[in-house]
Amino acid sequence: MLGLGAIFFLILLISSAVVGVLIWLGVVQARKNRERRAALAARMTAKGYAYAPQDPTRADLFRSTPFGSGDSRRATDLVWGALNGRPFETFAYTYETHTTDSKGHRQTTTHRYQITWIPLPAALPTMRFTADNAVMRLFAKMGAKDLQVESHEFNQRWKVWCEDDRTGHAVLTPTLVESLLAPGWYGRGLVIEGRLLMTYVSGHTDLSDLESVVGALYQIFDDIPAFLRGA
Amino acid sequence: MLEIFLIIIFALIVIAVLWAISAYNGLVRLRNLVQEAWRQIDVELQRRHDLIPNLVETVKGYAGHEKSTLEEVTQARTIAAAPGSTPGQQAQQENVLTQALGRLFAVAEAYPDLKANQNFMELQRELTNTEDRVAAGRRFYNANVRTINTKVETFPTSIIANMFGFHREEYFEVEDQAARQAPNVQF
Repeated sequence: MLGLGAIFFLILLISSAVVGVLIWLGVVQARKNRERRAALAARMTAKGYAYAPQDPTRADLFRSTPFGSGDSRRATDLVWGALNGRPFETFAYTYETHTTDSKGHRQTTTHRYQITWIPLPAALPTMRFTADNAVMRLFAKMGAKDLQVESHEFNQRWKVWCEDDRTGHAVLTPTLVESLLAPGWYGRGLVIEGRLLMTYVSGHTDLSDLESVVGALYQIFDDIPAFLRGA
Repeated sequence: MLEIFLIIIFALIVIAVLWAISAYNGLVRLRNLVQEAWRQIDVELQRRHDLIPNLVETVKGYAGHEKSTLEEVTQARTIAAAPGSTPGQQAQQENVLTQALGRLFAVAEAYPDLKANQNFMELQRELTNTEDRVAAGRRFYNANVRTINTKVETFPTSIIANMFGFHREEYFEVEDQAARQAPNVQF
């Protein structure tokens, strides 16, 4: 039989071990993050782009999805520069949502997105392109706005919402519709908000596809009629 | 028992009347939207037609002997600018004008001085810009026409449409050069 002191000592030992393991895991994770960031920064600066580990102002850059939800919003791993002389910026965006079950246990979910955006020379009404699905189509039947174009494939694939329908149809040129049917747009969302054109994808990427994403954004930019771009 | 039956019948009639009012108002709203969208196209077409005399005058200064091409454009412009055409008729007239303008620009290719003329370049740019605006207005107009035509033809709104004389609207379909240009998609 163990004495009270021995039990206390055992509990203290186990607790210390658990705390120690947690601290060690934290240190390992922090070191991994530091190394990943250093590698990313080196890779991006080698390409002539700039890098910053975080920028709190970017966490509220947009009002549209996926921005504006949850709390603990963070914008990290910012990369910006110019591709063929045309500016862009990308960053990892994270926010948290919380749910509480019937027993009162609070569960936190972390949502991660990779945001890439380019500037527009003139402000346009907000326009959102999200992947269409059965639920969205049901909402559309119940009266939710969804701009339809002359391409059935496009209508099936995208749900398009615009503050102003007239401008929405002006933006949706046949070439833009064709561009958005490219395979690379699967799983992505697209937002026009004021003077910004942004695309987002779920999860944080290693930015290996950065140039093709920025290129696709500029393809959309070029497809928008010149009179809307203020050209 | 009879009372309950009568209440149900009355409730069904009220629901049907409310639905009919809502369907009728929806069709009126759409018809007005189609008319407004058409007027917007008309404004842009007017803008296009107003640019052509200046363009013809500029070309005349360099290629005055290309009389038949210049007359073709002037004639097509006069017909297209005449008021009172339906969207279908207007589309046909605009297509003729577009073809005539195409021939005019082909002629201009043979005159380097004309191509380099500042006024000509500005008019060409303005014309392209206006054609983009017409195309944008056309997409909005046709989207509204598609919506009202679907409502006029599909059950049960077709009942209200037939009762109150709503009919299919005409699409405005012109040759859209931009639509034929396949984008260079590599994504």
